Amino acid sequence: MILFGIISQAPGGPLTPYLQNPHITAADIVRLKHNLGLDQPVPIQYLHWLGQVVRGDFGYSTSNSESVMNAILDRMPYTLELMGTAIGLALIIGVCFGILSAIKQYSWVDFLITTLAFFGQSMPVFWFALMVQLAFSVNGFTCCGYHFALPSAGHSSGEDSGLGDRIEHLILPAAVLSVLYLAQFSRFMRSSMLEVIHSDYIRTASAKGLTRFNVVMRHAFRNALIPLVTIIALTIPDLVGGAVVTERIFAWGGMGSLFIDALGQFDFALLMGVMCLSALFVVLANLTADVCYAWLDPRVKYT
Amino acid sequence: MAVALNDDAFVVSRNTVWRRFRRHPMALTGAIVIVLMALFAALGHFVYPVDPNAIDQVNWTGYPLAPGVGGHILGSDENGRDLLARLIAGAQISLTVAVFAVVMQIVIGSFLGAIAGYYGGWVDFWIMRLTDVVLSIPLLPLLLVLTAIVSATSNKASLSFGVIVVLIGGLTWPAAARLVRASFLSLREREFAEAARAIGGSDARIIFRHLLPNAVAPIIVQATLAVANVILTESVLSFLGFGIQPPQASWGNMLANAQTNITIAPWVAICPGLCILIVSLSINYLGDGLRDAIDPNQR
Repeated sequence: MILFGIISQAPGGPLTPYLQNPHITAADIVRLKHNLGLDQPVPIQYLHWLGQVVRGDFGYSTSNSESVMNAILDRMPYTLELMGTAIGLALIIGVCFGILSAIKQYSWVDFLITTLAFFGQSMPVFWFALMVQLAFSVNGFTCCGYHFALPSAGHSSGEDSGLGDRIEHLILPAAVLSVLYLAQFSRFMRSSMLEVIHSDYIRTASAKGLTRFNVVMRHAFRNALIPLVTIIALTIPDLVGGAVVTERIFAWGGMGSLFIDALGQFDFALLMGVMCLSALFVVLANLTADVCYAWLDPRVKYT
Repeated sequence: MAVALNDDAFVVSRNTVWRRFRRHPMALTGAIVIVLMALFAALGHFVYPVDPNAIDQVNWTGYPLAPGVGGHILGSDENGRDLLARLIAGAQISLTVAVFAVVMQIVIGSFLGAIAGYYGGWVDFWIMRLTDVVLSIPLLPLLLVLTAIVSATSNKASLSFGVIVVLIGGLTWPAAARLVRASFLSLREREFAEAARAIGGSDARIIFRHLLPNAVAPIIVQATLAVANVILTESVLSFLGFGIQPPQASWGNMLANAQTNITIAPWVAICPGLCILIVSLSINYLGDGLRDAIDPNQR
């Protein structure tokens, strides 16, 4: 039954063709208007396109006649760098915050973390990014007697820039993004941790005299992770999809800005490539999440 | 963000809910702030009758005017238009889009969720698969693509406000549908539903007159939280240039050009963003308080 529940929750699998269908038909309406040479019926175009994709060929971008695959592979490392840092950071801090505010429920630590989470949830990304630029980049800031002004755009100063330069460029966008993810992760971690520490086996563990640290880390933590896996699975596609808004504000040439550029130029081959890749990762992430459930909770059985 | 449904949730009286709600100072504050913001949007023009699209020909030099210059309380934007007047106009747009999109989301979601939960079987299966499909597509990229396509295919230069409402409402209903379906699954087995069936009530009558009113509590919570999300979504769309089109003001598109002048005129960027933040923060607190009041077992 658990298995069935999970499978019906997983949006990928047999539904993937449907997933791509709305885009391609909608896309084709405009494509037909744009270049009239394509007067084949939409389903045939779709089948043709699908046939190519299955053979690993996403076609050519109509805006800069580069192959879609190359364009994506070009941008991918930057997005992975940014999103990886942001999500990783948010995950580590978010989980710690969540545990902390759950075991110290209703204390000032809890209050502080919950408030922070609320702010993170309500903050318009682009505005937050602007404010961060204003505070740390435009005027610079003085700390420990030094004056800093972090770069606010791009991923490096030049082609042959060093590691330090790249990290400097990474700080602001990664920080902005991770605050947003942090809010989500810490809220979820808090509620699932609260649920777990009020259950019977945790009381048993405390009753047999284990230290508080042991109870929390060895007994509660693993079980509290299960709901979080779902959230992480929902976040993983962002790793390749990029963050449209943040990338645009920080002029970060990743997948998000590739997407926006393609959209602005009605470059549908490129758009479809990016969307397909995201869809693929949605499916993969869900599969991985299912495997993780089984690993974290041996009661989940796959037959 | 599903609200767990327990049977007690349905029998809580209004007084109890209100008493529990009052215990949340942040939720109360949120409610007051929202009322104030709605008044600001509705009555702002009467108190401060300045045209949001008029350019101050006298004082404007090509750069944003500082607060106070030429009688502009909050200064002007980069085109010499009064910032406060635009904030008021933006509030009207942003709040109306949010309310209409949420109403649409709730109506579609409740309807599909109710049918799925009530009939079960293959109706339920296909509606829920549809829900999964809509849920699995990342909202923002899809919205961007759709608004771009609509604006390219329509002959009008600007995207109408209705399109935004329909697109956002038409893509965000699955959360509501799931919620309503979940409560219908338990509600349809209850005695009063059986009684209604026994006296010969039609399916439509049982669904809308007997079951739906009992599922209204989680719907209210969902709707409240959805307003905050829609405001954020609309502002992001407008910020990227795919939402409400200038010269019509929206909090999102007011920020679009603020980035270029941020060094000389930070207030142009700060004001609209602050409005978005305050409203969505208040709504989130309100929704959270409501959820606790209606269904305290959630915590």
